[in-house]
Amino acid sequence: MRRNTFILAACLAAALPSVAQAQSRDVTGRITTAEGGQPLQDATVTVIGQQVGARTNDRGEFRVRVSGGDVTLLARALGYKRQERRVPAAATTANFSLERDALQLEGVTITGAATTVDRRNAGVAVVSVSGEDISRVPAPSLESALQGKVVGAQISMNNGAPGGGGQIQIRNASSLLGRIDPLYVVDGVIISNAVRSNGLSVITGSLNAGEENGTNRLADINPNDIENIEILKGAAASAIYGSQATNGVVVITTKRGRSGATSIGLTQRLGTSQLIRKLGSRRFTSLAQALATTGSPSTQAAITAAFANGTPAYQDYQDQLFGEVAPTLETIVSVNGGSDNTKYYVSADDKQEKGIARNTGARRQSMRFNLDQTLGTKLTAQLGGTIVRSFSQRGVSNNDNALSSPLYAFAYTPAIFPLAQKDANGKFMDNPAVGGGASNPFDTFERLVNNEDVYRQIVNARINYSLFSNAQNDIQLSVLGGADRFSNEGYNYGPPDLQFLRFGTAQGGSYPGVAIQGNGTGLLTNSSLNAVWTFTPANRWLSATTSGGWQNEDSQGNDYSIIGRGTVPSLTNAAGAANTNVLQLRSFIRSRAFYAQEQILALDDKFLIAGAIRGERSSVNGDVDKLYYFPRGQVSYRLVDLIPYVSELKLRASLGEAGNRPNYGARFITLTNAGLIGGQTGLVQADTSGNANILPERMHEAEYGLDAAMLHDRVRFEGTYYDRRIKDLLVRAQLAQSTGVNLQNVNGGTMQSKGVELALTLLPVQSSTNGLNWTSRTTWYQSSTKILSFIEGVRPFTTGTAAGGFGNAYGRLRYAPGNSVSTIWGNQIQADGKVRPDTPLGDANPKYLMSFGNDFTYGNFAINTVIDYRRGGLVSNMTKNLFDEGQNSWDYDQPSPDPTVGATLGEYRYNLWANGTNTAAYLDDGSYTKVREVTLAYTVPQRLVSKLATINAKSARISLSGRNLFIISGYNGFDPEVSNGGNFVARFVDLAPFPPSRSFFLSVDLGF
Amino acid sequence: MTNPIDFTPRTGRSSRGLMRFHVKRSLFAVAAVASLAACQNDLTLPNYNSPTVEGLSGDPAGLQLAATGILVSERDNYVGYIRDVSLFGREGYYYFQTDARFVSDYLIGAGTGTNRAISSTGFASGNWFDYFRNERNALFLANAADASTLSAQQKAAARGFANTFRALDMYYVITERDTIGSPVDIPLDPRNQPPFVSRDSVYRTISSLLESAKTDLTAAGSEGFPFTLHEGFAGFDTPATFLMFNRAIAARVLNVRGSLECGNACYTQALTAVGASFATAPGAAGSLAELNLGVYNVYSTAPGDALNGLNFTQDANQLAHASIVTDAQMQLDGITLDARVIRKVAALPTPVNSPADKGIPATYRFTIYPSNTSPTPIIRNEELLLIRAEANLKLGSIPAALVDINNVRAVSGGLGPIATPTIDALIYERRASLLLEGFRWIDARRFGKLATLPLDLPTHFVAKVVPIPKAECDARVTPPNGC
Repeated sequence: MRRNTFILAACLAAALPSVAQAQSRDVTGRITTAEGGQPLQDATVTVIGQQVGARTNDRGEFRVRVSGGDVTLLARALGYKRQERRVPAAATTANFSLERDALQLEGVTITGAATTVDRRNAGVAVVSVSGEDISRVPAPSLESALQGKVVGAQISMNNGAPGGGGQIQIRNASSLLGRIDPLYVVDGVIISNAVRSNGLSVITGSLNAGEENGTNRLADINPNDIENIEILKGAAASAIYGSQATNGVVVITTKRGRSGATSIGLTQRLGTSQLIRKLGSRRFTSLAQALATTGSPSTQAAITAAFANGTPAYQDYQDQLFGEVAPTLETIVSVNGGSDNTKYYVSADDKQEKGIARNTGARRQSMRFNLDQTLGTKLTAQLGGTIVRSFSQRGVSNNDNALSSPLYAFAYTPAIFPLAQKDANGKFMDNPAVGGGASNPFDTFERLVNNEDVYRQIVNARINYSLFSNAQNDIQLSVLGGADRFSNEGYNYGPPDLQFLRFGTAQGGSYPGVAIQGNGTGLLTNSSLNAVWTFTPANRWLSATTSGGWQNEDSQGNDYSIIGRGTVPSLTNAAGAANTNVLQLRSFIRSRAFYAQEQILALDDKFLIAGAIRGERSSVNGDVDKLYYFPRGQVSYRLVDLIPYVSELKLRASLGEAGNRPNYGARFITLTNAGLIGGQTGLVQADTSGNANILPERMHEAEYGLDAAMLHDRVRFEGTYYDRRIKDLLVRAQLAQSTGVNLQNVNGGTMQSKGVELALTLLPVQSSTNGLNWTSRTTWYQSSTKILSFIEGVRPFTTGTAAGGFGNAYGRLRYAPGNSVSTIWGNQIQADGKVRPDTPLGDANPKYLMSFGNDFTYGNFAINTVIDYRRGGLVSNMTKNLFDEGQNSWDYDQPSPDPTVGATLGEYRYNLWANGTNTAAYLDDGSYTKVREVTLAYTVPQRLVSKLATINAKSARISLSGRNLFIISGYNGFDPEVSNGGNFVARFVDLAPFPPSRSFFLSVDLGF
Repeated sequence: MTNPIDFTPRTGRSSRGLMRFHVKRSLFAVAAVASLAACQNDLTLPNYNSPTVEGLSGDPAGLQLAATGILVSERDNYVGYIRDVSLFGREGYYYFQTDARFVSDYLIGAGTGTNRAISSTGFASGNWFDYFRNERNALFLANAADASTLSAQQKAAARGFANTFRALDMYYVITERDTIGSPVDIPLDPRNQPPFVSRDSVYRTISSLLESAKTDLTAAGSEGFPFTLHEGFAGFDTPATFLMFNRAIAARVLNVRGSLECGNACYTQALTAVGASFATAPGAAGSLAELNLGVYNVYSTAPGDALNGLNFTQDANQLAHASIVTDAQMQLDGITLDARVIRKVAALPTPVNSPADKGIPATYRFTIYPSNTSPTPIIRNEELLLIRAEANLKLGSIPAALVDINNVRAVSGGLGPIATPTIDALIYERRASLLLEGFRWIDARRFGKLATLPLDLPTHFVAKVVPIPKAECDARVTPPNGC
């Protein structure tokens, strides 16, 4: 049938009349930048009112065939303001000089699977970040590169371990039990952002996979390949992706080839990272003080021995372990060029980043190609692919139950033992703290292996067929397909003589030593068939774009590991261990969808109205045959030059419904393998009962906005208010456990988020060529999410995930109607002395987020800065709690605010907490200001470059940059941004994190 | 150098009518492709990671998997129960080095004065769901057997097996919850909430379930179980021999009831039940092996199997209370401790301190289980002898009581005989003989002697009952007493 379509299309094309040669003429011209007069490559020139256009070559030249009479040409280029020019009937040349689009007024935004609209017309809030802004300062992962640049999103890194691990949360949480991270799409391919559990919890005894500090797969994306990232926030924008869209969509477009001479870019970066902020620890001045920290006779004996020759030297463990000044090296090569019909972009990147702790680091080696091929006059094909290897060594961090996590161990170890020193045999001492039940992190980081090695391939292809085109109608058919395939290999090894893995210890038990070999593979494929018909009547009073199509999406995962406990010394294979365990988890999700969309631009391009519907079936729904519909619509109107000083004011509104599909397997009522006894397998009733009626969560969102350009385009304001309601929210019904079933996930809740996003861009200083230019951008974002209701029989619940906190004593998330989703609940001592658990104590959600971006150029110099500010948001400061409990906090001996509670500050805090009955004692304000990025760049003048004849370069640029240079915060800890359990509905648990670092880079860019 | 690019499509003479026709045709064709392809793909995909109830019910192999599931759960729940009741009963400590809640939640509790109790949200309110889940497993087995093509005898055998374990699971629950009571029904639809019934009613239900299981096991005749049991059931793996295990559990429950509301009627029935169990004849036990005869949970190092968490190398956090040693009687030489104490506890080379509540270092550990694959008893002969002794003592048959007590003292403890059996003497024997088998706290409570349990610090207390876990309370539309 598909072949028939093409045959039909081919016949149709053949039947169309050929070009009328009469009366038409060629117009040629050149497009340059207004400042500097540089030629603009790849700018487009279109004839207004006609489906006609051309692109400029590398000299900025174009040639376009126009019909007879007067015509109006429109020139556009990415990053520049559009310009219209009337060309009289007699004229055959037209030159354009485009001004820089510092206010981001131009560009297009996605409205559907195969459609876009000019950003100035968009009826939804648009955030677009250019590749230059992303890659200016190297980042451990894409999340980090986006921090401070996306209004309406909270972007956080989990901690400072090299190799990534972060979270982008767009307009707050939209699910409690379903997917919480946005959908990521690269050149039309849905890619995985999974975090693989590597089994490290088996070694450290931590609570669950979230605490293993894994990396999410966004870390594989090379920021230097990115042309642009567009973030679809509201349902009206994201519902293009149906039931995967409630968390927003991050649409990544990679760089493509441009016709012209082959240009080669070479970038070499050299950088270092260092601990940004040290927590510090207590300095003991007397034996008695140190002895009081422990009741263990063996530890006390060790302390006494340490004090034998007077007060021992202070051991700065944190500095000794995390004090490495780690080098980072990155080499990027890109080749770009092509002819009229064939264009290519090829890049290679090798980035090596060393962690601030010994034996930690990350390396990403990637190659990307993009090929654009024109086949004849009607067919265009795009083919792209990435191969990448990401390797990381992240040591041990976060919560554990063997005191193996360094900060956990340091919290209980008086800083008087030379843990960092090796003896004559090259061995580290045992840590005598906690009766020997701790670990020596220096030994651990020297010998424990935690390797993650990812090999990934992403390919995308698109074939576009211009079925028909004339002055009024244009029909395009496209077929789009792609795949993301990765293999994430994990290898962990803890030697049997490591202090916390020895025979008889809590983690070593009967099986000292652990080796874990695992692999998680993923295969995501999607394809679509789209048809777009654009109709523009002769008088141009409107332009209507009608589109429709059909989409397939499959996603498969297969994760397996061999866990070997009781490793034979010198043998590091999991299979050779005394006790082995094999785990496997598979998944297979398939969805089928179709869509239909209408988009009308009218009233001289001032009015936009668009609507679409998507129908979707998925294998994860209880009813796999049922079609779920996701409608969306947007409207906008531009008021041009109506108000004094306001050149353009746009009012916009949109409505949409997006879904969030159930998790794989949720529809099945299952039994669980309880393990073996006497060689036989036993099955037991599943703890959580499946639900045969499960269906997607549904978000209904209304968004209103006002965008204005004022004072001769020196000021731009964007304001958005949104109100989203999520119904059919997946909630965990706690059944009466005495029925023998614990939980059941049901669609039984409603939730509401409201938020405001404001952005103000100013051009306070603008001068001509080589003068000072200053662009300033300030954003403000506030959002809160409240649970409105649960159906009858569903009580407030917690999920037991480590990221959601550690019980009432330390504060935890608990989902209860009438409360914010990020409320921290815990114990509170009442007036009558009774302890009330599950009391709302505060909110982890920031009161608001702000960012300040300032770009200056002066002559050949450019300075770019990004500053991020977070106001409020409570953090459960468990790291401080550990140090207080171990009597090792840096400020332990400072004066107590109330000596009746505790003699010193540390004792006061710990006693105030009252064994966890007063949870609020360790809930701290997480406000911060962070200098995310500073770059100073110098573009070497052409006359100097040309002197570098030996290297034959055409352009050269040198820059000095830094990331996360400063943190200003009253928070008593490393960094309030960290999250012990990784990505979650709300982030607030600071528990022995891998300390965040600051980094500096020197970059040299050469163009050939 | 390239030329400027022209992507001007060919335009010109419009042929609108033709175009419209073709547009309609081609859009129709696209839609046809879409709908056709949509039909080709079935979205019914399997669940790879777990067997489904639907898939298992019709499969005869399912009965074996379900029966084994009961036994795995039984074993896996055992350590948690023993640990908890041994903490309440001051037999042991659990010093989990990174979490002090094994001290605070068990030994200190929450609240003050008469309100002082175990917190329903803390660590010590466990051993609840897992037992009801295992009851549900038993129900699933009985139902699956009933729906199968097995013979009536085999169905009865499966039912008798299932109900014996269901009764045992109820026993574990009610010994911890005591006066609070518990539910006894397992509804098929988990959204139906079974009512709470009183302690005495729960015990009566347990007894009647065990009697009904006895009837079924007897009806099974010479037919074997439609599944095999692991080696911990050696000698008790046919319906006829399994019945002896059933009677042993029945005797244990009847004795508890005898000391509570039921009195001598139950003690009398207990004697009958002991008689039908595998207890050795009065005074006949001559070796530790004979005392250890019974039904056990088994462990193995095989992948997927479990290890004995009460073994010290498997879990070094499990430590012993010093009062076991200080309260021990001496053997006839006057200097050697009760052989049971020597066998079961050993001094630690260095005392182990508690995680955060300092000041109660543990000085002993258990040596009951020499390896991490040593089996743990569900019930064994030594207990049955002391059950018979207790029933006889309470029923006034002093000489008969003395025979069993002195038999155990001699064989197990290397101690001389006693002349006058008292409840305290019996408690001492049960404490020493059944150390870390889950009785001391429950015995102290049912004989009204909780106050005799030693407190390590004045701030400590002895729990009377374990509360209903908060999850259960939260889920209840009408919270029961104890929530």
